[in-house]
Amino acid sequence: MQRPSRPKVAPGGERGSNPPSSSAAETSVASLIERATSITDPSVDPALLRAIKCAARASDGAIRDAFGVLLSLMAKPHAHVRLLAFTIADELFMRSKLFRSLLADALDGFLPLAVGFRRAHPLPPPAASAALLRKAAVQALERWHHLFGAHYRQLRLAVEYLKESARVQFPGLRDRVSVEARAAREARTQEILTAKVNQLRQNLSAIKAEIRSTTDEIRNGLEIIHMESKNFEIYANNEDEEQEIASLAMRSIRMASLMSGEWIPETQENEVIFNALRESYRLLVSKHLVTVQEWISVLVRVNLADNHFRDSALKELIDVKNEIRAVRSRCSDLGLDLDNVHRRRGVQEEEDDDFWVVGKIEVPIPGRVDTSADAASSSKDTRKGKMPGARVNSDNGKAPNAGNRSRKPNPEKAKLHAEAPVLPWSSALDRWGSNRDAHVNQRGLELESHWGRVDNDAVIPATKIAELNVHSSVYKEDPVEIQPCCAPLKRGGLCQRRDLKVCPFHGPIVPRDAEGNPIGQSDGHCDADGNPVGQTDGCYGAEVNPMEQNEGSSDAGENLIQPGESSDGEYVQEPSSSRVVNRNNDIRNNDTSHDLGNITVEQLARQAVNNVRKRNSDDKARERVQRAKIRQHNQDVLREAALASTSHSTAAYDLPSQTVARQGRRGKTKAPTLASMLKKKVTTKDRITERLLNARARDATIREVSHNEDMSYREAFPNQW
Amino acid sequence: MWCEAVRLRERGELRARRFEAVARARRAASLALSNRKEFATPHHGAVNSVQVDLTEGRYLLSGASDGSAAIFDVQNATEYEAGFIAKHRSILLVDKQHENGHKFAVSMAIWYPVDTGLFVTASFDQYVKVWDTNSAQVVMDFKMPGKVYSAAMSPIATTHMLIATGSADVQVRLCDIASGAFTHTLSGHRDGIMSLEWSASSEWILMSGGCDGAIRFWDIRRAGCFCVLDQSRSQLGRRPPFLESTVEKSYSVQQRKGKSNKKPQTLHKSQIPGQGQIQQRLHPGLSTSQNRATAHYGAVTGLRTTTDGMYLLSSGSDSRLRLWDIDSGRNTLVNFEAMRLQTSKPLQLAVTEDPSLVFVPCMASIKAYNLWSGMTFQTLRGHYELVNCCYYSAQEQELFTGSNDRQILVWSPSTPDFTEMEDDDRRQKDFVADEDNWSD
Repeated sequence: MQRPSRPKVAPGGERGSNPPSSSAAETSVASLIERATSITDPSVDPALLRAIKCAARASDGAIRDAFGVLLSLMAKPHAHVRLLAFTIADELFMRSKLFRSLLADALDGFLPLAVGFRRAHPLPPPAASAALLRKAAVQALERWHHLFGAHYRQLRLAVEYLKESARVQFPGLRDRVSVEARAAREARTQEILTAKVNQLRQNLSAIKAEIRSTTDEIRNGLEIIHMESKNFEIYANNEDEEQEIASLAMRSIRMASLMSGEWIPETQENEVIFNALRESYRLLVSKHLVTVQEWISVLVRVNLADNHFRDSALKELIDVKNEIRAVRSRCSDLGLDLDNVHRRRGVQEEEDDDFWVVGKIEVPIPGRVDTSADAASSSKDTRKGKMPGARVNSDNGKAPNAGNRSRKPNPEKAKLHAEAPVLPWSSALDRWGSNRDAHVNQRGLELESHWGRVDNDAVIPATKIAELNVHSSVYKEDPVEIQPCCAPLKRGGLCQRRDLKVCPFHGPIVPRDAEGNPIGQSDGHCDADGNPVGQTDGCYGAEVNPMEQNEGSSDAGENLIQPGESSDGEYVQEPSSSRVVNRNNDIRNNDTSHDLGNITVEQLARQAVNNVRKRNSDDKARERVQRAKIRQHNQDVLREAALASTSHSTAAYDLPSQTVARQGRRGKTKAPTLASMLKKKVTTKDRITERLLNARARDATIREVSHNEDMSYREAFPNQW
Repeated sequence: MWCEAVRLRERGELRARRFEAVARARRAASLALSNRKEFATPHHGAVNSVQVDLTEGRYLLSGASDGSAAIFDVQNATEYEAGFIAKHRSILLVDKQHENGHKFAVSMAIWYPVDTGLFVTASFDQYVKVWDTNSAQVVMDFKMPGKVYSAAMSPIATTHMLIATGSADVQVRLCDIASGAFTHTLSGHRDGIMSLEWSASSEWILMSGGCDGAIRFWDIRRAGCFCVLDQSRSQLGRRPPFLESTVEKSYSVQQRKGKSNKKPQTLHKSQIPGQGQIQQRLHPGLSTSQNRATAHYGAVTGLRTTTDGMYLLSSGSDSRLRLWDIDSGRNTLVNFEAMRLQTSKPLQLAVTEDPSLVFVPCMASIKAYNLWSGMTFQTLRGHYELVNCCYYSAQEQELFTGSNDRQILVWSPSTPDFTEMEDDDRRQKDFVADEDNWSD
């Protein structure tokens, strides 16, 4: 499919028999064209173009000459030269019949140079000019075809070929077709719209009445709810006072937790209202609002003879819409969102699923010994009792059920519970207690002659089943006990909520003594109590205690572990962090190190945690700043790259300013030449591509030298170009 | 000038035949892309073959790579665009949708020479099918052992109706329409057969060009080929020099005792006894040296005889065009100017009836060469893809060409004055006149 390279001989030269009519005119045409195409401006100088026309119209010889020059210029491997030459050719084509016939005969050679539809011979760089050239050529060809297609078979052929075989898009043809199609579509939609408006004219009042009734319903419901919510606020305040939570922070935490939950309690008596409200709210939002908006859009688009009805209806509908919006905003103010509606309709189990949090359970602060024997049974909030912590906690019995049921003490059931053996869940529970043989074909399917003979009476002996049901697993979850909050309640007793870090009512969980006083704040008597850590977690205590005792006795300065290491480790790791604390304390209060014994281990641990957290946060902040910087840099690079899709186009876009500069001071700045347009400007994008593509081609020595540097750079800025 | 010739004819200085020949030659020399006649192509693939029927010169048959074959009326246009552009649409199209249509590309579509009621298509789906033109149904088909590259029927046959078919197989097969069977299997080529041509002077002589570069002459009344063209055996000019025949004489005397008893009768007019003797001697077995002779380096892609049946033109994948003297079987050493030819497809060449010009598809253009001097006379440009075939209609002095760009173009004698006058009559008002327009 390759084309033979065509000899680029100007037909003027071929037809040497034609007497040169006036050599001066010819040379002037040729030189004018040469001059016009050797500039870097985006278009031909109009004055020059006029001069070319004047020179060309002088004689046939001049036309032939111009044609020859233009054809040779079109063959130049520079898209900008081709673009300018094509502009001149277009001008002459529209003017001269001789030029038309000449060009038509050479059109099959000319078009590939202008449109570049042959894959083997694409348009030459620069890319920006090439795109312009292609667009101009296609447009011009279409125009030529429209005007002179009847006279030149070549033009018809070219257009047909480009359209059918080369699949070049012709804007004009497409436009003409699409305009008609659009008009037809428009007319059809107008018909439909008028029909719709007539329909609306009939039942506008009905629609309005319906919407009114719904909004009124909602308003009434909201009134009632509002009163309820006021009552609730009072109730909530009362509870606050009851609990006497001193710190402001605690109260705010509590309020937040209440707000995030369902803060209008849905009790037996107002449930009906809520349901009705939800129904009508849904109706309003999902049906009425949508219909109103549809009608408005219909009215806006329709073209009617009399706009009187349209305007009035539009006004009314907009009013209705605003009303609906107002109601909706009131509802959402009251926490009656649509998704909220959905959630509330769900059953209790679904809510539990929402609360499920997958994560590793850690006991951050070892609390005190759980004095109450049955913590779960005294739990006030049964729903919260099903939190993951509680679930793990109760793996020695069927705790969730037990916790729930024990609300109503059933002595017989409790006895049975006590008797029941504790088994891990497995499929063996399906056949619990049955000691019979099982049929192989349990389902009664007729499997005759499918896989050979089938014995319908085949049974599996009970012993075999027992053998099959032996359940063993390698992995076992570590039993983790989550400590209760233990904050003193107003009514007496301690709070039995088990949360990981923060109790929603009493704030962060801190170790407390038997009365519920936080231990950290009262140094003295915790010391006397001994080491609570050791008492709560046997395993931890065994590890921690000797070390701390060591440190207590020996000089803290001997500690060999560097503080830098501890920042990597998790701060909950007791041994390392405590040592770090010790060291930090040493550094900080060197002079007060005498009364080391006065400082309790708890305090040290807490301080350690604080220190490490602070350092972590510092690190994080620094990292964040760094990342932001990198992101900024990357964004800049990408933006630059996006602005100029290639370096050619940047070069092209840069041109005008340069030309302006050149006109100003010719002597100083280097004038942009056609060659400079072809020169590739190395942009960041090119660098990237080069780095990605030509990595192998790079010199080995350079790689060797730059390797270390590169590595360190990459380590420092891993996500940077 | 034509008016000059008319005046001479009026005065009786120019005889009628001569006048006609001059007019034909002048028209053939002025071929250009016709603006007033165009074919609306129904094909969706490359046009591989075009032929105008030999009886009326009215119906154009084309075969294309999408497995379709179409027939156009060359003389009567379907419609006129813009008043004067005659648009010819296909009057018959058989393609893949047809129940008996070809599955793969149609490589050759030819008319039954004595009637337009039948035509033959050869395809890459290994079938040669004979169609009834009026009912557009397959009358009979022949299954070939390989892709069929070409098919030919003798234009002068009166005693047989054989379709010679060349395929990827090494044998030329002759299919008899009368019986619906293969009558002959001609073996000799060492590779597939790209081109076939019946002699224009003898209805028994078949010429075949193979991918092995050999051109073989077959007499279908006898077994085996009787001549293999050798590019190195040459003669200067149109006739063999006398000198050669005298040299030949001693040679033939020497060979006389080995000569078979049959007189040379294979060629219609075998004027050179020496040639005939050699052919006779070599005949069934052919000595190895001559049997291995080649006409082209590479495959022979096209064959065409002149209308008088004396000369054979062949094109090869070595991008050469050779003119052979059929009688002597020698290369005439006409040096056709540099050209570049397609190598992978069979090409269809065309010769004017005098014969003075040969039209050769050279990549995307058609070149007209002077047959005797080998000079490029004209280059016809208009196609946008490779040109596969051309057919010169002697009746109208028009050239039809088919190309990979799906188009069938008509190149007709351009007589600008006539067309201008006629155009003025038919031109509609809403078209822009093709005039100079220099005012701004």
